[in-house]
Amino acid sequence: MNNAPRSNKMQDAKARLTRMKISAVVASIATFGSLTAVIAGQVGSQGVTAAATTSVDDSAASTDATSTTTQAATSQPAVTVAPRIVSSQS
Amino acid sequence: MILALTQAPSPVWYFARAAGFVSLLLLAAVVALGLALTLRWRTPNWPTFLSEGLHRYLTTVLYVFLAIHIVTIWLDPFTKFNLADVLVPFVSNYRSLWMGLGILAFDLALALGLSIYIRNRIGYRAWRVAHYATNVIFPLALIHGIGTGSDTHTWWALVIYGVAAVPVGALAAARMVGGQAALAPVREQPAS
Repeated sequence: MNNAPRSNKMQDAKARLTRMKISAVVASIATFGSLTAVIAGQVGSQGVTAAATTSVDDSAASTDATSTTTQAATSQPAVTVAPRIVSSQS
Repeated sequence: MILALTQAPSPVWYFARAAGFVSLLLLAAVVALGLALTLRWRTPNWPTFLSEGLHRYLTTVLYVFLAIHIVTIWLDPFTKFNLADVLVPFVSNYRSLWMGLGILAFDLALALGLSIYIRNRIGYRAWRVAHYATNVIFPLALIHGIGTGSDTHTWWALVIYGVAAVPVGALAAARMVGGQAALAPVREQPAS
């Protein structure tokens, strides 16, 4: 006699879990998309500043400093790249 | 050389960073739910059934985003990491320590995830003891994110780190305070 309400409760709990799983995936994808957009926008705005710096500071002596500024602005790792370029040139 | 360095970063690099943050948030949720289960925390509106189901499901989602994080970093044309750089701790010469901690966290998470398949062989109790290694995965991942993250200096990254760390820290503290009581009886799971 008491099995029917218990079964209904279980069904409700399962349905709730399913809804929560779907919500979690949707939230994860939405967060991923939003963060990608934020990072791209942030890098884009910094890239403009870096490009302006590069055009003004155009002497050979300041090449390294300019490159470092640009790398920092685009948030790409500078440390890895330098040795690889050097080794490919040698 | 200057031309190469001033090129805009590839979208792959954005995906890698975003996937890293989502992975950290998912890891926090998985660990928090695991701690809640250990503490036997439940309410009439939030039965243990929900915590267990979400804990397992979010672990799977976590692996998906971790895979995106690792594959995109590996594929990024700028960094040119090889497979060992992104899978073997402390091999990469780029921020070796911070990268290594993240890779170590991933390797541990992967091993624990796969251990579910040998649980019947090693026994539930041994598997559960091995599961305690999860306690170091979250701190490793958090330190990896803060140390190697290109966005650590931004306000939103700090918010994400806080959102991830505070609930896990609070539950871990609760677990330490009432730890042994929560640990005592390990219920054998019925074979599925």
